[in-house]
Amino acid sequence: MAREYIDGTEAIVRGALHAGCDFFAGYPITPSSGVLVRMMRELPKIGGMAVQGEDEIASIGMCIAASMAGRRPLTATSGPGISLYSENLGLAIMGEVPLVIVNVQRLGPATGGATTGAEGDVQFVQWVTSGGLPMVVLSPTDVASSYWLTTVAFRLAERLRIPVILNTSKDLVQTMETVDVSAWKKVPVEPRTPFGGAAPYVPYRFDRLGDVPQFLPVGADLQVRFTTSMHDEHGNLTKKLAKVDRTFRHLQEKVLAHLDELVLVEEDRQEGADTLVVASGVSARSSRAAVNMVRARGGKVSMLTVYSVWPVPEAAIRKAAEGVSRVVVPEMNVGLYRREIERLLPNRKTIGVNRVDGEVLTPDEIIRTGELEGGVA
Amino acid sequence: MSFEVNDYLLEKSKPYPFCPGCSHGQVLDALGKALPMVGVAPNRVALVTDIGCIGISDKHFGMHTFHGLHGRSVTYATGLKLGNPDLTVVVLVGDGGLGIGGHHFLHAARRNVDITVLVCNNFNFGMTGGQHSVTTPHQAVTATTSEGNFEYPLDIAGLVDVAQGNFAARVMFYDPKLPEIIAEAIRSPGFAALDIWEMCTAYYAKRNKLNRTVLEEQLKERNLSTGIVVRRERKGYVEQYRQSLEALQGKPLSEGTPMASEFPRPSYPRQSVLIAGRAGQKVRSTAMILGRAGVLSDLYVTQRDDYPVTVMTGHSTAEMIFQPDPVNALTVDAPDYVLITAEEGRDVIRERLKGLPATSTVYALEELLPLDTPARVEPIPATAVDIQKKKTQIVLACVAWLAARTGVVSPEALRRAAQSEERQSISDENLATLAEMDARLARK
Repeated sequence: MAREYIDGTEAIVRGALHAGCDFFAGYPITPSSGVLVRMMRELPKIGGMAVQGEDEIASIGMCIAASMAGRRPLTATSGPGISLYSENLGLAIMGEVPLVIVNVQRLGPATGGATTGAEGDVQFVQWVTSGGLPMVVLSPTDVASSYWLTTVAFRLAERLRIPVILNTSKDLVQTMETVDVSAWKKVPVEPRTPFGGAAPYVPYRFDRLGDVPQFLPVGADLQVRFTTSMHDEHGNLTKKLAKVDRTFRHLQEKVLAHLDELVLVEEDRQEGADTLVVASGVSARSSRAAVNMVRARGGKVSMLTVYSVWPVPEAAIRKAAEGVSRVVVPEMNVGLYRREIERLLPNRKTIGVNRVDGEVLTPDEIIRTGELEGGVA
Repeated sequence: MSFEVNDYLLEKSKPYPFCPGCSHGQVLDALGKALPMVGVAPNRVALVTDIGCIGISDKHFGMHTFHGLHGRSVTYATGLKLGNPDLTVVVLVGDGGLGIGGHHFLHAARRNVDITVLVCNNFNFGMTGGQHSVTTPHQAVTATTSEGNFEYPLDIAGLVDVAQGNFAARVMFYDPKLPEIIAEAIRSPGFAALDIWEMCTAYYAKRNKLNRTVLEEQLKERNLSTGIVVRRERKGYVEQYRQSLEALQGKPLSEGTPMASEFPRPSYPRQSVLIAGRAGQKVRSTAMILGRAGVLSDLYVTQRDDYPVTVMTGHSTAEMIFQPDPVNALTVDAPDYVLITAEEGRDVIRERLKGLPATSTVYALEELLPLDTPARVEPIPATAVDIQKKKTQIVLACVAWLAARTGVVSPEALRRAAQSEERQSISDENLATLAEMDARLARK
């Protein structure tokens, strides 16, 4: 067993490097600066490139262009920075750019609490840009899943040519913990499907709406046209109704048609339990501890940990809630993900356990407010 | 291999979609002529555009084209160049894009990124209806300056100069030398920009007198001249990056230091410790020693730190949990042990102290007493932990005290963990503190 004592920042960086990341651009902001500092130190070792941008807008812009030049980029930011990423996240969706974004949640809004933890971005990361298209967002719960989900984020970004957000938080990136590195999960990251046909290269060609266009980098022998404007398959501006409709639906279907690959949850069902705890992020850790405590005292409770927070894993949540009448949703926000649960499960009693002062929920707090002891058979 | 204009600027794509009399077409023609002069293959050139009339030019070109958000083209150009340094990267942007992306332009020039930016400067926003831009002349009438512009215009080439970019030229769109000047800018290593003065016939020329004579008069009024106005020989960004980081190339990635379970695991099911001190007291790094001592003792440990935005001042706390099974929660209602090493730490956990049960124990430097808490309080005499009068060793001394009293980790594990510091001098200092504490605690 290879035990180490590291924090989530290090796990994300190691996950990125093992996933083949070779480009980074970012701007210092607490609590995500650790990723920037480490990438600036690590990437030159493997011939990669890391840049500290003049601001967040430049940083994500550089990552997007480097991705289209064939690199595998990562960027990391927090609160005010993810707000500034907004327009370029839209560009990454529209231009079909593989890109992994680490968002380290801190207490918002605005400058909020730079060194104060929170989970207040959980809705924002889905609706982070104009247009209303789905974002893929993964949320780790500890150091090991920070590593694993970083590799998953790269896999999905590269495969589907989309931006993928790893939505973590201050208490996950800066908390040190014992980890067994030899047991870490990771997924392989395949290169983008290259264009293999004869010239000309049609950069945004797809057959079925959910298909991912074949890739050639800017700088390939054949001409590549990239655009962030509404375009036809050639990458030329268009206002033709049928083409606009097709491009837009393609951008949506590219995510929705691959939901089976996107759903990452851990269901821990206890037979006879009347209460289900649904949690993600650092709150899932406290929830897990609370569930263990309840069970140790002879109580019954089921739990669903949601790693793929967006798109909402609706079927998995409905399935986990079968047979329970109460659903407890602990979060370090005003109840943002709870509204998804209430939408999916209108006939269950939904109870939020919420803190917005920056403190991580304690297991006892979840048991008390969620009335988990009430689940004792 | 030599190339022709049509390899870059596609004759079949014409006519241009610009208004009658607009000068953008002349700039595009000049760019088409400049590229064969440079001689770089079309598939090694990337043309970056953003929003504004000039931004819809990309479809006329046979090179790689990248069309992005308003004002961000310089960031994309930088990303393309760094992503593939073999590319020749040219940006076409208007005075609108220059304005909103001014920050990027300034820093690309400062970094001396190897890109060429052609600013098609027609003194107002054409695409959105003739609003004033950062280059609109003083007193000029636009859609948003109906009584004359009271803002002063920005000098683009001057901006490159103050930002220490390598190359800048100011040039009229009708200058027959425009293709040669563009070619020279592209050939120039490092950052290059052209301020190309143009005519917007749809808006600007309708509201202001505008012809070649007027443009040249404006130049004189502002005490500016055409031609190359900045030329430096600084190394470009790509070369600087390669040279300055060459030493790192090929070195192994940081992969962490695995630790073996060298010491017997303590028998408790779980212990939680909250250390509350002051920033600059080495609370965090000392807690890391305690954490590593736990790992070396076959325990799962978490360490959640908290501190304000200030550096070296204010509180610093570390909340730690030690148990034989993987830890889930990062925090508990009532820590088993609290260690207070400074006033700042004591004050920040004041409410928490009040809520502790009688089963918890608080170890605090005696000068920080009394405490308002139902928990058992055990003072640590200042003389017991004052190691060579070093303030940076006080937390480690207190942690040694706490470990001896609670058995959360053994003194041996703590000593071993203190050795794994990266710098020998720190390691030596820590070990000296722990040796002194061992001796003192043995005497007690």
